[in-house]
Amino acid sequence: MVRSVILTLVVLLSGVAGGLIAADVPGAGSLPAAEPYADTTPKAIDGWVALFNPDVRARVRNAAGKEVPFKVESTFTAPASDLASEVVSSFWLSFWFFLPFLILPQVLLVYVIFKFKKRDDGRKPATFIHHNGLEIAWTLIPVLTLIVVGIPVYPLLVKMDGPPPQVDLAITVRASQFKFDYDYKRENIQVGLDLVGGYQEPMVLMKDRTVALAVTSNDVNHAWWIPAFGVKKDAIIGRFNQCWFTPTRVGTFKGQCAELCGRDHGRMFVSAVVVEPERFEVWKTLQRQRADVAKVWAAVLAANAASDAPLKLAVDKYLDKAKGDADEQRRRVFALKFWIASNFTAKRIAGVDSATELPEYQALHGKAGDQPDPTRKTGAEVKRGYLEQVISAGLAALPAAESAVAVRSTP
Amino acid sequence: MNAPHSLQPTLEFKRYSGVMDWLTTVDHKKIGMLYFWFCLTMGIVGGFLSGLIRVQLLTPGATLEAIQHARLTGEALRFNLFSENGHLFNQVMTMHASVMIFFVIIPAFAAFGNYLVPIMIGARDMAFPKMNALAFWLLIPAAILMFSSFLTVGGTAAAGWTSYPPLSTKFSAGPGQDMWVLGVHLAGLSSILGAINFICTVTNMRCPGMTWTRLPLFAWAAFITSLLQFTATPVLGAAVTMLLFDRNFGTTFLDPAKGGDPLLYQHIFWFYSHPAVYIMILPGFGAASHIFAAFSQKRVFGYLGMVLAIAGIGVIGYMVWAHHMFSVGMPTPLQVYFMYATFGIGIPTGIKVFSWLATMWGGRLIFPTAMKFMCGMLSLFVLGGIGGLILGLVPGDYSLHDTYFVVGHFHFTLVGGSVMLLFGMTYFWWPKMSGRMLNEKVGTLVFWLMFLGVFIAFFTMHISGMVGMARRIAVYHQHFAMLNHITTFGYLLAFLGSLIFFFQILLSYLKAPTAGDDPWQINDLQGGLEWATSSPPPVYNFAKVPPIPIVDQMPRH
Repeated sequence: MVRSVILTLVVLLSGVAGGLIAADVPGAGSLPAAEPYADTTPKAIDGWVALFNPDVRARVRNAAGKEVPFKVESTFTAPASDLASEVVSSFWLSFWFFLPFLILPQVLLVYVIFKFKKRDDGRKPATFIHHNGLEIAWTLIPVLTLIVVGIPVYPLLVKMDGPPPQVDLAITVRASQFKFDYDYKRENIQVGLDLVGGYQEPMVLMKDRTVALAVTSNDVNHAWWIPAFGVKKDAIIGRFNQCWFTPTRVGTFKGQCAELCGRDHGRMFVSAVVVEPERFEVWKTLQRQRADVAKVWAAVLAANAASDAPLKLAVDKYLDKAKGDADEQRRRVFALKFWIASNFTAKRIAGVDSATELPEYQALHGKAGDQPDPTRKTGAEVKRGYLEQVISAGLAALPAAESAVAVRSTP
Repeated sequence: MNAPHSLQPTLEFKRYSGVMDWLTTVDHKKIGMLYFWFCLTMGIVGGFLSGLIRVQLLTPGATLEAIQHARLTGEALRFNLFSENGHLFNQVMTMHASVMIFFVIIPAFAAFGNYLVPIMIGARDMAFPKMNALAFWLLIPAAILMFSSFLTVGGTAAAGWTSYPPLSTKFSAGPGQDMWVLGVHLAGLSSILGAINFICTVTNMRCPGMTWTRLPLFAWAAFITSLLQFTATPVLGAAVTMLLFDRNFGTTFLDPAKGGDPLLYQHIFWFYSHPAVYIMILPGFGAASHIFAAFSQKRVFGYLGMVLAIAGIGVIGYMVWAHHMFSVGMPTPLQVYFMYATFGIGIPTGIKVFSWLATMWGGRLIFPTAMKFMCGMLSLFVLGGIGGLILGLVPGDYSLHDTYFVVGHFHFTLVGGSVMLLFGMTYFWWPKMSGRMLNEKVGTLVFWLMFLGVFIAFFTMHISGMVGMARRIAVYHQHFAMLNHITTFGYLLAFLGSLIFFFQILLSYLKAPTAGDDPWQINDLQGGLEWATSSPPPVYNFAKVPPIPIVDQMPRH
């Protein structure tokens, strides 16, 4: 009963405090599981961006004036890993043992205050100053209770601190002021602070697949912590702290650095996206094309009215790599659309108030304040031609506002 | 006063009056008052610093997304006192903790110890009066060093009062951190000198008849606390010296690139700082027994058990330090050991709590402000103590470590425990120390403001922690907004209470000292020597060896 009251209190307060707004991943639910690369419609690409980069997506909405705060889920309110669930049940089991020692002194105190308050009844205060039986009792009973409390904790502790039962994903978490980098050892994928967007990329995990983390730091002490997973490990330079867990729910999970690490400690966030294993395969494919797409993206940023050749060259080189392999070609187009859409979205929120401050906008239209010359043939049309021809779906995948920013040209 | 000739001071020395008297005094009572006023002032300063923290946390600042946005664009956040710069927040947070620990709670118990212990044991002064003065006056440069570092380039220390390296070594530019270290050195030296003095005083200066089994519990507690201070504080000195040397002299104690280890500091630091949390409460525990007994009109229940419990807390307190470090990655057997050792602390603490209840049981209870504070302390401290046991459970601690649950827990023990004890002790002994009674109505108001404020502020923090709010953050997710509003409300109540308390003490000097020798009329039953002398006591406390008015506190069979 007490437990449910406390839980209700916790949930109510946290719910009222934040407003129970679930992570909003539009379209992600309807994404195709089989043959994902076939569908490169704007809606589908948009959905993938929202799935794998929920922070970006949320911030776009924020920029549009609609706040989409992620719900912070904790071990105790919404456990999302096998370990977290066990921690919660172990916690409440121990709590039941502690509860009498929490309640008893309070009840006795209130009782004593009212029972033995001085009244005009001529009662003489008692004179006893010791009672061996009582003193032995309130020494031994807590001793026994505390020994018992520790017993069920022990196997869980051994399980948490011990090696994982199997390892489906091995990730090295490398913390530095004020970001986390993730190195997927077996997949040879590195994600972290995205340099284009300037945002912390989420750690992408598989539902029901065990992940083993090796946590370390490049500079000061940090701690990798996502409350819903029930795992927290300090990141200390010169050490690799091991921990593991198995996510049990699909979703976006938020956390943050949990060891004072300097100025921006409060803003050192952690996100994890838990997806079905087949979607994780899509994410892996996308990550493998990442370096190649970056070259195209550089060309997009550098594009100007003078010449369209660099952009064309970059796109051609990118697609040439998969010449003759239709499947690979499709994956490459898919990845290109994904990353362009993702980068444009990130670019949009990367700290510009107005579209006119975007470098590519200025490249096309001149600096803010210049009146666009309706008669001038801008590079926008040239650029737009390529973008529409090759990666139009990726562009269209952007929300209307972003598309307008990306290629604003005279209609 | 017609003192026998042999008890007159034999050395002639120049006596000052006025301010010079206070600056040069070696009288334990005057030094006790100096400590008292120093701590009271610092308490208001520390409370003001926590007010700055509450202002910063008044609003989430922004949602996580907007914060990130602001960070990237350089826009100011909504209503964010320290703008986008968490550095100033970290400084304030660090100084709040340092001031409260080194300049309020630890010396505040030294204040009462200085004033009361020699009187309670029938001595005329501390064993080393000049060293006593030195111990106090070292606190002043310590405080000056710490506060003036706010003015230096880079500000004061910003690595938390724990000052974990490498943040406090390679990643804290400017002299602030060094000045903090030196301030801690001086405060620590003051602590050690004071402790030596107490140990020698209680061991050697007890008047004839004041056997160990008759020693008042407050003197016992001050004695055991001093043993802790004397043995633990040098360890803190070693830890912060490593910081200082690594920062300035090229040593590599804590630098893994050159064979050091940052974890070394954490172990050494907590080897001091866990006993330190008992240094911050044990003397109060001793005093609580006096107050409970006095206003229950009974004698202390289970004197022997109480002494053993204080000693037991002191001993076990040395063996649990790594429960602050469960998440740093220790071997499982060590984690299990530290978990059980942490539980071990609960046993003597439980003995004390139940013995206090038994002291009240069957008594004829009256509730002056001091007694109200003791009852409130009992209630809040039990909450804090159980929170500590919960944190001792390693798997749960992985989730709760470095969250607001921890902050709530130790504020329940330090504010709900130590500060409530100090307030209660002041209401109990202020008539003796100043000769002036404190107004009961104002005292009751202070009590309820403190009790409700502390409960509201810090109970809410437990919930914040459980729903996932990390500690030491300058901006937080709006999910935690309402919880923080409640905490801020609780803070306002408690700080208001503290201010009223401050001015009540200050303004009590407006009245004439009219309190009798035994203002609470408890001497017949309790027999404390402090109630056998005048209020305030004369310079030499007792003109002749005072009679020990009570037989052994231990039951005879």
